[in-house]
Amino acid sequence: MSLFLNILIVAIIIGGAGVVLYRHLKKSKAGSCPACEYDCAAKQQLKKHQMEQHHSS
Amino acid sequence: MTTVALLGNPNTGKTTLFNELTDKYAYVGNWEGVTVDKKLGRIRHSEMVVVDLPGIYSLTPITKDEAVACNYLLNDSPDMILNVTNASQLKRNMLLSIELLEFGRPVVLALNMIDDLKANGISYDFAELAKRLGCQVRATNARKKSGLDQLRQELLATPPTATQPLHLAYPAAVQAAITQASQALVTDYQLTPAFANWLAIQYLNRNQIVRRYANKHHLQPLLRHQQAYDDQNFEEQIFQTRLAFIDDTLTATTKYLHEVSNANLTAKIDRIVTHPVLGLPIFVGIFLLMFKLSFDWIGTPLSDGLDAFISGPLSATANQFLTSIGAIPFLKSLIVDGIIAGVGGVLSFIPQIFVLFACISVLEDSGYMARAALVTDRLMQLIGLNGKAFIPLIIGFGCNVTGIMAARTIEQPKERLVTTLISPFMSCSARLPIYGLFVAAFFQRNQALIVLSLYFLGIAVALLMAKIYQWVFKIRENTVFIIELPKYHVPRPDIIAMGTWEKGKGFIRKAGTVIFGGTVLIWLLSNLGPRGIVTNIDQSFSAAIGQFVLPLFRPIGITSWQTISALMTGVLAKEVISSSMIVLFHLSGQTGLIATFSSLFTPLSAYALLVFILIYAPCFATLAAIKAETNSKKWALYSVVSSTVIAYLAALLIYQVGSLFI
Repeated sequence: MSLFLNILIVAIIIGGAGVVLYRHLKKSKAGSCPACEYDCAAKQQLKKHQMEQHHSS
Repeated sequence: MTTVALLGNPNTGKTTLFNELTDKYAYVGNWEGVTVDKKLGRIRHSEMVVVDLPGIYSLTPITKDEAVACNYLLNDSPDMILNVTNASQLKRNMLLSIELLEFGRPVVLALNMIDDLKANGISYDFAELAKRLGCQVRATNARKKSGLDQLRQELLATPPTATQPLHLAYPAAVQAAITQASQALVTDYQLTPAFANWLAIQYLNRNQIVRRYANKHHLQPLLRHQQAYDDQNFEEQIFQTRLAFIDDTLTATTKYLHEVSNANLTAKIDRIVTHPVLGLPIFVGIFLLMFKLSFDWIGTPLSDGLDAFISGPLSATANQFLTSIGAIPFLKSLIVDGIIAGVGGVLSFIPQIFVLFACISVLEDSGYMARAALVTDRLMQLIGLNGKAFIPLIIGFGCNVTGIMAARTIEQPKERLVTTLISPFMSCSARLPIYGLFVAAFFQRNQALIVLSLYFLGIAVALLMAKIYQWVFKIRENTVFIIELPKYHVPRPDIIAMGTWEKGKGFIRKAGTVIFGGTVLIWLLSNLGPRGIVTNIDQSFSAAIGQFVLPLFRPIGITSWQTISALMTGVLAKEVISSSMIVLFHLSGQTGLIATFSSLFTPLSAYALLVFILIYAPCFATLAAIKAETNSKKWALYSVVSSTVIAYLAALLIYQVGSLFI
């Protein structure tokens, strides 16, 4: 495996970690419901509703 | 699209019925406050949408939950109402039913938990009941899924058109006021006669939401007589009329099947588990049993097996594979020592966490949790809080964010604020991996007991702080705590399995997100220093940060900068503390863990550290929840500072006093 490929994989892992941390902090910052890890029925229904709206538009 | 409002008293099996009818699983438990949020679900193969509203005892709101339901009727006007009742408690449940029947929309009355009623030797003449109430009546048992198809058919077959509302024979003065006001509302404001009639009754009944609605819409026929209505105590007259109607209806429709002993099983069990003296020790005993199962008997052996696999064959295979494809040492270390060791190390606690969640699900589904709230209410009263605060607190054992959100059910703003502020002291499941790491190293024979002591210490700190806040905020209101004690059930395996999965899947999801991100971050900080890549971890950024604040932590028994750096990552999520420690200490497997920790900690300093972790600054998501719920950054900031100070003082006290004896 070339050095370039090694560096590329390291960059992808670190970049990926950065993205998930950014997303986590952004989600947490949004407050109660989005920050809550519990995927309750209300959240599931909301996602379904958003998907339906997305498909219909 | 037809909309059905699902309404009923708390603990009538409303949420279970919602899940069964809409073919959508939702969390099932005996908690008051589980359905704080409005939930929508579509009935299978139809365009009928069911709206699950919070459990309420009447439309006259005392709590935020009740206000949600009343506002929904006022502003969204559903096409139909599905009123779920506990068949064994019909007398009390019907107070709400009457208010719904007066609304003038088709109502289907579900007599849920019908088997419990029959077990008590009672049934109802459904045809007569339907005739007297002017609605469809169906017997169901949502838990056993019986009567649900008929109920679904009934809902689909009921035309969603306005129907004749129930008319009770209110006293002449009350009736005259209702008639006069509703006629004026129909004429002057073009309201439908049924809605005007319902609005007038609710207004006379001092429904604050309806009164606010009348003010907003300037409904003069009601507003100008408000004083007169209140002076004549129409509210009490309405209540008495409803009660008399319920008594008459139930007397005429009740059928006695056979004689039964009053001392049924639930009452027998309750005599012991809610006993004023025995109740609390039983509660503690049940929690100890739960931790024994999670940490001593089932969870730990499974976790050890998983840990051996991750730190052994998985790491070795990954290492060999990376070497064979020519990966540079930096990449190999990132994947093997960072991601596999860190994330894998946290994942190895999955069995313990899932066993604990399964136990909690069993307690919820069996009906014990409501008793736990009742038992702790006595303790809470000593502090000045009521048992209702126990519910968000115990929900906080799963996740503090969810617990803080559950505090919405507390109606008094100051009590709600206190519960929100003390919720982070509850030991959330994210702290379990770090407990697991240390109890395995230092308290192998008493793992469950040590974890139990941490949970109860969290409760003790929360209660102590609650008392202080009560005094500081000058809280004098004393709200009454009412909780329905559902009958005990044999827990259903599918509900337990789903409940456990619903609670636990967030932990697995976090492994792929924040735990992964946090682990890579700490690995980077421990492999990079001011001069680039470092081979000696003591020259890394994480060492520099940890060593800078280390002197502050020596008095509580922390002597390694790695521990400090790991604690800092806990702000991302508490699970990251464990993965950070695994990465920073290069821990691998149980033997390596015990060897490394034994040179850095004593059992006393390890316990002091666990106490610090239990109490110190909440994670970022919890802080955001505090900010959102209190609508103030100030309280979130206060929570960070106060909890860190309290954590430090508690750990200092334990370590310093303990050092005198050990």
